[in-house]
Amino acid sequence: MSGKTLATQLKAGLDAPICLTWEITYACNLQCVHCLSSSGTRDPRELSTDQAKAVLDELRDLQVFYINIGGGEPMIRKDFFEILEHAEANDIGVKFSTNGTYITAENARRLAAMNYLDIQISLDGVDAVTNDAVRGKGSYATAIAAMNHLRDANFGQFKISVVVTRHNVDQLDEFKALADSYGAQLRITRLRPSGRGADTWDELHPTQQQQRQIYDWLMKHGENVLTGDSFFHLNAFGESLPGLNLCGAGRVVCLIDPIGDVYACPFVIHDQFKAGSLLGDGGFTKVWKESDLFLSLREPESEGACSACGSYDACQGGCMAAKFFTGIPLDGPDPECVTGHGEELVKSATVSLIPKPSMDHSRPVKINTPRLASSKEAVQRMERV
Amino acid sequence: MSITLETACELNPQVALRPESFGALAYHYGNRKLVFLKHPDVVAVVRDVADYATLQDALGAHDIQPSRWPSFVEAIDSLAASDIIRVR
Amino acid sequence: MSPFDTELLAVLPTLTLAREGPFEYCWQVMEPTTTAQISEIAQDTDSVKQTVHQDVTELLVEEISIDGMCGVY
Repeated sequence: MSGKTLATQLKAGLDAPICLTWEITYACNLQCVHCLSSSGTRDPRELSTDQAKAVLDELRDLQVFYINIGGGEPMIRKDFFEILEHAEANDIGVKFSTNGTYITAENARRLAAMNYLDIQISLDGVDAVTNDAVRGKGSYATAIAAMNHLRDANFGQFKISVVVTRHNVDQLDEFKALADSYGAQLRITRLRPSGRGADTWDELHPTQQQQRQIYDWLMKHGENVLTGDSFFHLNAFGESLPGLNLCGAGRVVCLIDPIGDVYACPFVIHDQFKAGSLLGDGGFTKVWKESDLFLSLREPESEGACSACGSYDACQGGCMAAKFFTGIPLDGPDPECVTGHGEELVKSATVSLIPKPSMDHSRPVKINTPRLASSKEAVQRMERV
Repeated sequence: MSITLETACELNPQVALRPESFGALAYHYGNRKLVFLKHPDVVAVVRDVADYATLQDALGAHDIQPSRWPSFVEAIDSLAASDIIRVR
Repeated sequence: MSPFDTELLAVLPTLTLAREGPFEYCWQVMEPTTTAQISEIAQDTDSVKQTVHQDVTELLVEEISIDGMCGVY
């Protein structure tokens, strides 16, 4: 009998990812204030259609059964359906994440005809006021229209994915009702201070009291609600939430970005968490199996500053992206540590030393909401040509 | 209906088995369920259980000690609940 | 020595009748009887015979959700 738990075995890494995120473009028609990939403009080095198909072929050979396609807005790519069809032909299940702009009635019918396809519509508020403050004017209506088209085309069950913020945490029951009304599955995920999220983190991330609210809601109502296992830092409140409760980055999951760079996960698009490029000899496989970054992530982690706290087994020290982009050492507490160990560290972090994302594909755009435009980085972005 | 040692079983053809160092990952393309098979012995049994008249025959053929049979029955029953194993 | 001196019994190999070999019955040395087996043998025969229940000791399969690992959309 193996003495190791499943979690321990997975933390040591597998020969191939269980699934992974593939951002296929940095282009996006929206400018959500918390975008983890700082998307907006297409990168000129974006993988071609042939390169994209070669990536899928390699994932097929590795027996990666399932991938999550995103961006930017993935449907912006002219070869979007070609990529999907190549995945389907190679028995790779796809879930793609979209703001819904390009889910027209016709596209909805086309998507409904495909196999092994999951769709995740992003929505951050149950009404236009709440949602559009984060995702931009008209984005709520766009998402609802996409859902209506999927329903009308008999697509079947799709997902609604919500990033939980200070301003929508009171809407969890309504989100569930909305999902139920479409026969859709609700997914709520944690906001990380990644990409443009770093600029708006202070205003958007849930308060300590709200974190308790999220935990209690999930324990009470979360039976059919997905979380992407992103709230395991809340396990220190008590009984663990369902899920593996571990950081899969570089161990069982990773990110392939639009230019073929491989990162530990979509929330750490930064050189320090870049494992390599799949355009090198040995492709993605070599990066996954042999990169220094991933090998070091697969080493047993030390509790570090958390060793004195009894909750470490439950919370695993939280999210490395959250720590990295708030200037907290990686073996320190999570900035949203529920016992409060992270708060002081966040306050005392030297702002000039806090890492910035390695790339920024944001489009300069006027931000509609005055309170969010007060962030210094946001103002700088507006001023950039 | 739960699995017993007398049940005739088979691996669902919609399932892919991906070997891992400790066993295998089983993925069901139809219902998207993902299951870890945590010991090479259960992987070996699951792979060719269709070739045997009963589960017990399969366990015997793979030299599984009888003291371990309850664990295997429970495992196969759990896989049947996910439609990864089917009753023939 | 009491026949129920279990410590000593555990050390001594058990002699039992075997049914194979050139003689129909002959003494054959078996493995030392384990303490658990001795407890069973030493049980009061009037007591209810307990069903031998094998505990399921190995967790051989574990289902996980494709959404259940952190680090993907």
